[in-house]
Amino acid sequence: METTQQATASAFVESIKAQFPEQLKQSRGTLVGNASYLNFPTQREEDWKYTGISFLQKEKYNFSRFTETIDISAFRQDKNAALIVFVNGFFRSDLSSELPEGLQFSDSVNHEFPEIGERKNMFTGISDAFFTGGIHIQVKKSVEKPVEVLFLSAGGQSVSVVKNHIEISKSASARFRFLFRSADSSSYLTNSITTIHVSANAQFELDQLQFESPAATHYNRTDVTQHRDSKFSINTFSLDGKLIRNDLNIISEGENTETHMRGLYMVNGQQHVDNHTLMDHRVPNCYSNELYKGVMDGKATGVFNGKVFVRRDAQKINAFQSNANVLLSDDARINSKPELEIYADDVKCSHGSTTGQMDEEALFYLRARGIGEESAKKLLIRAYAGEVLDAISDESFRLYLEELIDSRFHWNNV
Amino acid sequence: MAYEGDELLDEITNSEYKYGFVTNIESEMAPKGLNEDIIRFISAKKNEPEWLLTWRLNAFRQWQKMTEPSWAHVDYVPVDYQDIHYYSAPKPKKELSSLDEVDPELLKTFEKLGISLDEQKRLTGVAVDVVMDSVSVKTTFKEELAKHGIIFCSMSEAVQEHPELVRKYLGTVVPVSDNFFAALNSAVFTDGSFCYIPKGVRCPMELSTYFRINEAKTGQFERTLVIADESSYVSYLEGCTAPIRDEHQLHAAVVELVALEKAEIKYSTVQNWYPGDKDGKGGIYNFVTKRGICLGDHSKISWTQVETGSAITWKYPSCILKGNNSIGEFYSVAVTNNKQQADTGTKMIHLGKNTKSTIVSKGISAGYSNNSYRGLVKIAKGATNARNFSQCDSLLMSDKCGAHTFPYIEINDKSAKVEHEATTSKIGEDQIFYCNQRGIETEKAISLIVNGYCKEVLNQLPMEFAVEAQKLLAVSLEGSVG
Amino acid sequence: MISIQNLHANIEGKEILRGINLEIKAGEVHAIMGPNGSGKSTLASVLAGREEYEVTEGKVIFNAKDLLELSPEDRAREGLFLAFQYPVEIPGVSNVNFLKTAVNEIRAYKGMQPVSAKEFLQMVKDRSALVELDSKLASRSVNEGFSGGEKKRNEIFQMAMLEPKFAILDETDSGLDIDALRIVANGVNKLKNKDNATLVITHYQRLLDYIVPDFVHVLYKGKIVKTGSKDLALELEEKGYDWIKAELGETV
Repeated sequence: METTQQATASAFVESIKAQFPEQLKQSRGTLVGNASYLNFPTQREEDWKYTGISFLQKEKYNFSRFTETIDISAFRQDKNAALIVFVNGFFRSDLSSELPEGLQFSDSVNHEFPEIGERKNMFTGISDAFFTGGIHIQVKKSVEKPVEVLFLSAGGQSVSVVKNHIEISKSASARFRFLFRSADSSSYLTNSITTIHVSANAQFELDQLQFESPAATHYNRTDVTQHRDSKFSINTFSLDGKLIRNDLNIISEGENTETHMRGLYMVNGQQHVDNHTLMDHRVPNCYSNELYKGVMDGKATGVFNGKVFVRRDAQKINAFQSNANVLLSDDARINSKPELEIYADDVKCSHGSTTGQMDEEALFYLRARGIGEESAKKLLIRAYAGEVLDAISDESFRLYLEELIDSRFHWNNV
Repeated sequence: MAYEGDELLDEITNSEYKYGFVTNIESEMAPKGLNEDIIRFISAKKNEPEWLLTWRLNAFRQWQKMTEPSWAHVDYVPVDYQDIHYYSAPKPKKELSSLDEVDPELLKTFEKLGISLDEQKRLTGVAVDVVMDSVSVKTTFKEELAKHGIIFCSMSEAVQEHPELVRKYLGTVVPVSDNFFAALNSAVFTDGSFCYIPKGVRCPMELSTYFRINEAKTGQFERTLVIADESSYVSYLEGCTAPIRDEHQLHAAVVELVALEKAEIKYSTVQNWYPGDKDGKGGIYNFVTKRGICLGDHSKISWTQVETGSAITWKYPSCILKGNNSIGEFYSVAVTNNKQQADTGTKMIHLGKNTKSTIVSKGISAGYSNNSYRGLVKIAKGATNARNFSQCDSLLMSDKCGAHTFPYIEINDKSAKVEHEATTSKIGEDQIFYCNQRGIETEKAISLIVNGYCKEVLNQLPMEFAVEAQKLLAVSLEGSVG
Repeated sequence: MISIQNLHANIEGKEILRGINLEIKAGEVHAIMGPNGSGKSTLASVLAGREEYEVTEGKVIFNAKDLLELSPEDRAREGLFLAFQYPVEIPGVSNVNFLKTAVNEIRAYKGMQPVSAKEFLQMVKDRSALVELDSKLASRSVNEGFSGGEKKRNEIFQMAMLEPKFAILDETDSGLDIDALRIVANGVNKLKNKDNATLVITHYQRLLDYIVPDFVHVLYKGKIVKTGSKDLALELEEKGYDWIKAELGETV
């Protein structure tokens, strides 16, 4: 058993390795060779219990610099925001805009990264060895304008391996928006890893939109370290894609930090969205709040696994976690696993998970007031999603998301 | 605060395990170790039919292929399965015909345990089966129960007297290959209780089993089977104690419950196995598989447990809700102190339509202990209108202990309504202070607060047990606020 | 305006309505009274189109249309309004947004243009005053965190906004103190005109002191067993429902 698995694991990674641009191999040294030992995750592992990715073994992906002209205006949200563009994992300076003062940017392909240490898996190994670009940014002083980073996939069967690093300097603040989009409805793989350092007294908000091709597979991992008195918010919207897996690990390393994690996943058809989050409270006097909401239609599956970890002596922690799900169809599924692991006693921690149908009473009430079934459902879904959307500080981005959500479900088929 | 933390911590760690005496009774033991010959020995000793021996051997072969589970949030020195006596029975001097003839040492044991097998119990109306080490030593009230057609006897006796019932249900709820410990139990179980309530009968008294591990280097592997036929009702209680011994002892029991149409089984446990000393030396490894199936429509199974003992507890009393409109309940208080570790919870598997389950779990951790709730709520596709509500609270009493919650929620039907809530917090200092200010000393206040915190669960226990459980909680937590 | 003919309805296989006959004309106020479990609320639910109920026999003609063929929203758009006994809380949906959607969908159904924002706000202001409802409540989520009295007043406020032809008040008096009751009743009375009709469902006579009915019907075991003037309500108040049971030849 074990040996065949090892062999298939290698086959998948080998196929990526074979495609990896020759000129980059040199700079990665032993990491390229080590990649051959990466294990392909199976559902027997607790971390992948509810998410099967064996279909990837049949896929062949290419690293391809997409050179055709693309009109990217349809994919960006805010024409006034600063813009950085990657196509199939390669930086495109021709499509990117001027960046505001205070940001020091370069393509991460020119940087060396330490290997991902904790919670490694095949995807982190792939990114360690095969990344072709990403943002490497230092926010030296506060930036008012939001920064949009567009990760576009185009041409089909592409693999984008990106590695991002964002550092927010002491007392600085910034707002970033990652847009994962596709130029067509083709199959592709995105493997994106982002490490974020929020220095003392800094503030950072990251909004992520995954509105991808219905055939897209996306492994997305974000590792955040927060230092004292910092504030970090992340809002993740998974609205389209075949399989999306988001791993979010946040370490609170300094006292008096504030952390907000929010997510909204709306899936249909055969889609699968998996959010794994870990809030690691290592020091006392911190606050974290997590809210993930899901709507599953068609034969879609949602997975939520959130863990709050309070280490010994990390006293006076207030940590809250909540996961809510609505199943709209007979074949939709949800697996929810909210976890608390607590080793300090003077804490206030709680979690909740609820699953149900759309509120039939509310639906009837709306219809009895003359609101059509379709509008009524839309109204209820939007109200349900509102709790997550309301957290977005940027009004125009929120409205943009509301439109996407409205367009997301074809109510006639419900 | 008005008390010294260290002093109190001292007190609790020194508070003695009340049931830690050893009874000097001659007993008959099998040699240490586990192999097919030992299984044949046990089976022959119990004069078992061929099918049961075959069943045991099959379980043993399956067990050999399995590995000990490691996913639980517990940490322990692995058990040497070859260093255990798999059979130990108090040696009877002669056939017993009345209580007067019971070994006086044994009777003393029961008295110390607070179980008297005589008039006292008759007044309180509890029928008792006692399992010491591996063998059932006495069942009371058998004749009285027989009048109602109720069978309540030791498993060994049931195998002899009611083989058809045993054969029909044994291993149907917990299959031999279910898990490592269940397979082990299936191979070597020596005794346990058997209970059958016929159609339409409401059992007139509480049925109860007391389990006791006495001999050193023995494991206890009892097997309990309760069958409630259509429209019947039974309330079943189980209590457990063991002497203080330096080495760890293994307890790997299997309990199977079967509720047919409109039947109800209420199963309560007060588990007070020896927890080990304050440094974690000795204590019972309590690796138990308990599961009930609501086979018939409108049936109900309710588990209540108060877990205060054992060095390690690994236990998930579960309900398979197969019948339509069936109900599963799980009420649990788990207290860990010193170096105890508990990983306990339940599984509610909803298969039938309109099935309902309720989970209330109250964990209390003190000292250096770790206390985890682990549970699964699964709604199968087609199990329409399933409802579950889970409330899992943890109370922390020291800054060196851990409290964890690992719920798994798997929903495959859109009509399901599932709610899970969990909180973790410290015992309220303002509550303690409020009590102090009203003249209540801290220990008493803690006892009051903890009992209040556990009320929802304790209320589920039959009166007699509730009192015992309350006392146990108080003892387990004496002065444990640091 | 509405004609209910031999209406039978079941829930989960149990027959609740066993042949209701009732004619209500424009300008009339009817009251239905009856003991608990007689089918009062079921009648309201069936007329509004609640899907758990199965109509097994009979028909209902409303505005010359077969009411039972219409979806709940089309019934509302035709001018049927149900003031819920238990108004539903809808977190995240503001009252204003909710009402604006409702008003405009009803207007669209009638081929009218959507109401302008200014006009709408004026309507909200005027009509919330009718039931002395704080207009600040309009920006809150529908019924969320409202007191019992506020919820009932909100129902009447919505009625004022939607201007129905036929309104059913399902136990609107339950849980109201006397002041709230007066406010609610005043609101209803002010909305009354010669072109609309009201059906008041209640257990107690006290609401009928404020909303004076032209006819009082007694519902018992799914049938209208007695019809009279407003005096019937007083008689019921005095003698209780046992009197009706006795009259029907049942042993009490």
